[in-house]
Amino acid sequence: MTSNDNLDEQLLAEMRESFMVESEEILGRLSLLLTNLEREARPDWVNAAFREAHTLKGVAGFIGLTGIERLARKMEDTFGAVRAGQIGVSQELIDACREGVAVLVSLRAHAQAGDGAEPDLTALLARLDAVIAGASSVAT
Amino acid sequence: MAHILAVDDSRSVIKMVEFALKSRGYAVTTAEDGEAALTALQQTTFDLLVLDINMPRLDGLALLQIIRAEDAWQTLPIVMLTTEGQEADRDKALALGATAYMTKPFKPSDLLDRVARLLH
Repeated sequence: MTSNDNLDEQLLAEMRESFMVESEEILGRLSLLLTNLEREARPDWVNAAFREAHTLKGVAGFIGLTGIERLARKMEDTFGAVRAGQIGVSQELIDACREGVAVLVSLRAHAQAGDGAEPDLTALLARLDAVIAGASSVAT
Repeated sequence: MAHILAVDDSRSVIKMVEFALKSRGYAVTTAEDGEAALTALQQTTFDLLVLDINMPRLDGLALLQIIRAEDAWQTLPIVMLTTEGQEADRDKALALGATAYMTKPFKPSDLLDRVARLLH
């Protein structure tokens, strides 16, 4: 193993520890943002939700947490579609994203426990895809 | 030794970048958004900037525009941190004067190689 490999391994291990704290905070803020967005679809809240999902996706990608990365990416796409004016903030969007946050919490717990068990994301990813694709006619 | 300003709103990413750069002896200042980075740039002379795009308050592309509009910062090397799937942002960053880009996730050692090439 080269010194570069050692450095990469050491830094990514530290990043993984840091992620466990940061991700908990991100999910807390995301949850609060969904509550706010349910009340009012303010663009700054949509932007903030987009950024939180984006950050979560980015860090998870670094440390190989593919489940969190995939789901956070889909949620980022969902808020991105709202940001681009392609869809509105529907109740279905809020509900699907709430489920997304709940599953992310569970994925994070599995990553922390290192038990390798992860929930199946297929149905949730399809649900979010449907929100992105099908809700384009739902105006707010 | 060169002084580098690293800017990213993710604490995990910024810590990793900071530790990696310090491991090679660079002096590192960090900022968690574009506004804080601009303040740091106005107060200190840096040799290189590592800059994320998606950030609250002032994002990386807006900060890049401000930097390149200033004579004193025209030649400051800037490595943009982009994310897979954000090719449009990456192209915009290069058009606005970014020197190089790294796509997340990247290996810390790849960032160090890129920084070393730009500083020598």
